Amino acid sequence: MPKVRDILYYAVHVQELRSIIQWKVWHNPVHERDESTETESAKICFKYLDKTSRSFSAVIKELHPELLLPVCVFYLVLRGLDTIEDDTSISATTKEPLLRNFHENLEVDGWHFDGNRPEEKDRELLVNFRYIITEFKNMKPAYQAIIKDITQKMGNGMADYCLNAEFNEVGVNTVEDYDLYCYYVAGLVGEGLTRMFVESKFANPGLLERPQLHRSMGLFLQKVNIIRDIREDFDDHRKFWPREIWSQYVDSFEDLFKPENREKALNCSSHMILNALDHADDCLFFLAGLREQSVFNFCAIPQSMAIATLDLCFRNYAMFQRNIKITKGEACQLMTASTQNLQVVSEAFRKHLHSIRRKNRPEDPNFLKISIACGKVEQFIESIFPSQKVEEILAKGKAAELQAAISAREKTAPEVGSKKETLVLLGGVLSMMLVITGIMTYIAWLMGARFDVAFEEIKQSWAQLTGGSLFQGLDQVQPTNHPTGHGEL
Amino acid sequence: MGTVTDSGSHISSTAGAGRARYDPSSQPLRVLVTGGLGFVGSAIVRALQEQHADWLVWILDKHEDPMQGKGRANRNEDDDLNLLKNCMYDYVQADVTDEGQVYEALNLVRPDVVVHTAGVVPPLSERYARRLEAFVRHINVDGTRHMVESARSTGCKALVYTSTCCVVTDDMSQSYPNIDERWPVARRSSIYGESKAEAERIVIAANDMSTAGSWTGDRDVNNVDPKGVDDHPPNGMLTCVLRPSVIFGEGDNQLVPSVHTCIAKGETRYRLGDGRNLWDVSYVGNVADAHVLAVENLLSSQARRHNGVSNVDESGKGAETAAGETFFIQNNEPISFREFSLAIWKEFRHYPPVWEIPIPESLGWVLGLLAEGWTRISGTPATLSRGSVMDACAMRYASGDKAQRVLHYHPRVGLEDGIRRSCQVSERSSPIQSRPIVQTGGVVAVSRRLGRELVPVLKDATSIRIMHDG
Repeated sequence: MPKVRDILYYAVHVQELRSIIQWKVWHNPVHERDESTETESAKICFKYLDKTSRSFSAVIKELHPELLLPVCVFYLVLRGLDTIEDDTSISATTKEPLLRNFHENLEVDGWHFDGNRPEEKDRELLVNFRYIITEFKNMKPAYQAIIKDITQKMGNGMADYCLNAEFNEVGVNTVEDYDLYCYYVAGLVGEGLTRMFVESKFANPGLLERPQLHRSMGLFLQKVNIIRDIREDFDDHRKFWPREIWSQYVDSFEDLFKPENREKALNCSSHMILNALDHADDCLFFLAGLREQSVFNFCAIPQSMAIATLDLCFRNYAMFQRNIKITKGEACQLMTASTQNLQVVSEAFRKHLHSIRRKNRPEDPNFLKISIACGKVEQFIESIFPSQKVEEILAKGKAAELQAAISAREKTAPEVGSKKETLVLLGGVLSMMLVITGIMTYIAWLMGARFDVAFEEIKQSWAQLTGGSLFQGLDQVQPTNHPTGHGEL
Repeated sequence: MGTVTDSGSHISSTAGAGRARYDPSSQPLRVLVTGGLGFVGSAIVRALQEQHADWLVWILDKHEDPMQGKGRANRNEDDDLNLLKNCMYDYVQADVTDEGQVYEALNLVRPDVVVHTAGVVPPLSERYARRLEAFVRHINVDGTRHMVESARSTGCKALVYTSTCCVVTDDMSQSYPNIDERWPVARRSSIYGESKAEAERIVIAANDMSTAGSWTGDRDVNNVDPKGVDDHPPNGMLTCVLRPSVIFGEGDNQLVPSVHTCIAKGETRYRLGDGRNLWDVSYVGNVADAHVLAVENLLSSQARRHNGVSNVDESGKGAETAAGETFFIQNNEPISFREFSLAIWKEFRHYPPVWEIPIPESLGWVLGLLAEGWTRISGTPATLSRGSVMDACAMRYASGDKAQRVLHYHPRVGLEDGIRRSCQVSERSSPIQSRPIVQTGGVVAVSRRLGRELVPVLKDATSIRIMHDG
């Protein structure tokens, strides 16, 4: 039963309600899990996937069958590692070797761990870890090697941090440390997944030659989470915002949450957002290298959620008071956009960048830097999806020349002669029809009809019928699904 | 430093002799910057000097050398505003619209390189009108033709022309997101854009890629017949065109001051259009850098051609030549005009109220039309005009990829830093400086006495300054 508040919200935000209906009614997964062919241990893996992840389980389960289990097991292995790292009841001396050697357990049949405190929410996963190991051993050796390698790197990174007294005391110090921390917890995931995508031939191998891109994929998501969760982390005594940034605004981290420091806190959050925005164009570039729809969806959905969350947090003081989230309607809208193609995702990015620029104020010390960062991403989008093609402009110029030559000869003025009554009558009928059409269109739109798609198609066929075939020929018609960014990889 | 010499008493053959830092046996490269006293020209002179201390820089300008006139005319009281402070240059006065003067000047200097920056930008209120068309064309088109022809016939090796992105973007009926150099030049734009486009065609047509025979040794500059016989160099002159976007920086008397005056006029809360359309702007020092890079590129293309080497260097990496090419130059940081203005006002510690008053583009256009009418009646220029409205609402920014690839151009000074620098200068000077015609290259085309007599003035700007100070 929906809450009264929600009903009121969606009564005002019809567009978002429509997005929810559209997602629920019209979304068809690219691939669906086939439970009948799954082994017992695979079913248990999916059970834990649902249990441990709210956001990722849905997208993982729609992945191509080739990657379905490998990605699921990858996720669970890292989640297991995370559960050990998070548990403050385990002493550092016990924890360190556990983290550093965790990857070796993957080869040990029946390995499990029951040393977590009872209140650790994913304790059960480690207790029943043997099923995950079974599935791990069932998959292709190439995937096994990738998962093992990343687990080892991440385990070592986490161990370094857990031994680092400074980190435990004061939190992240420099921006460099911040990037490194995000790299261990998220950048490495990006690396592992990219290697799996390339292994399965669902991604352009060039993505591995530009490690900056998949690193940014992870860092962008992680940084946005760190920004959004500032209040929650603070209440849990964790400080991920680097001192190098917050110390420019307040003397102690706690001061960010004092009401009298409202402006300083907002400026500090702008600085954090500016830092995260730096990765946005890399993320879009990365998405251009994906060749399979389910993989694209898997990667694009979290990214567009992230840019929307960044927009939500920008100059929003509520983030220092409570945990804020994008609305369900917005999330559905973004999911619909992220399960199509890069152009639609880029449009969503552009929309949120504009929204950020609209809220940007010169009083903010990072005002110009933020505008420049947004402009940079927008220019990148324009470079992969030009809103005007130079070839068309050149052709149009020629066409205009011809037209000018023709119209110079033909000069006829259209005659206007009409009776008033007929006009009034005709106008009445027409306006009545317009009203009816409008109502019908609105209902269709509310039910999720895609007029934009229809309109695009009409436009295209019209262009082919008229100017296109005359001046450009059919070879000019380009496949719309291929961003030009592919070529560069 | 050498003695300060009086104007007019020296002839060309002694040029350079007064400079102790040059070894007379070697032949320093001679670079002539037209409009070198102006905003962009002086920045180019400075950049050339900083990056190539061994080159001999000459300025050709229509103005009298301000250093020479200082004692009498009382200009440049404020030395901080002197754009050529601490620069070493030789000076020749000539008007680019006078073919004879240009030829005489070039024959005197016999530059290896010409950077042709002199030109005229009509003020905003006249920009989209046609009243000044003939006048603007005379300077920008005929001036360029005179320059190109004289340079070619006096043995110049490379010519770089300062054009503008307006040659493409001044046709206001279009939007120009991330355009590149393949974009066609606008057929009908503004008087300024059209004149610069025609000048571009002259410059590109003059690019001569033909190789003619071997070339032994450099010309002996000191032994050149002062009358100047047309001795074509064995290889033809190479040319290229740079198209900077709107330029700001120290000495800018158009962009930053006009945004600044909005504070005094109380206009800062009005926002034209949605204020989100991206637009390019360039810091003057970066534009100057691009000119130096273009000169270097053309000279190395000449050298490769001279040595019969193909355009590939030892490392196997292709060295693309800039000859015959056109480049968009900007800060590669597109933002909106509104954001740029807000950043400038911020430098003057002015923050418009949070509730901006948006003026839709269509309404702005009508208001612009009315303002133009008012300008015509009253004679005092208003901030608003149809052109400035469309300017503020248009999407106009270019890709810097080609300049980066061929010229290896990277803007050294970021937008934020550039804005800070130019606002600091602007603050020291009076905020409102209305001049009838605004200059880019330095030739201010209000009728001034034309120096019929060609006067080469050998000057060391620094020592003159010291002398006057003392």
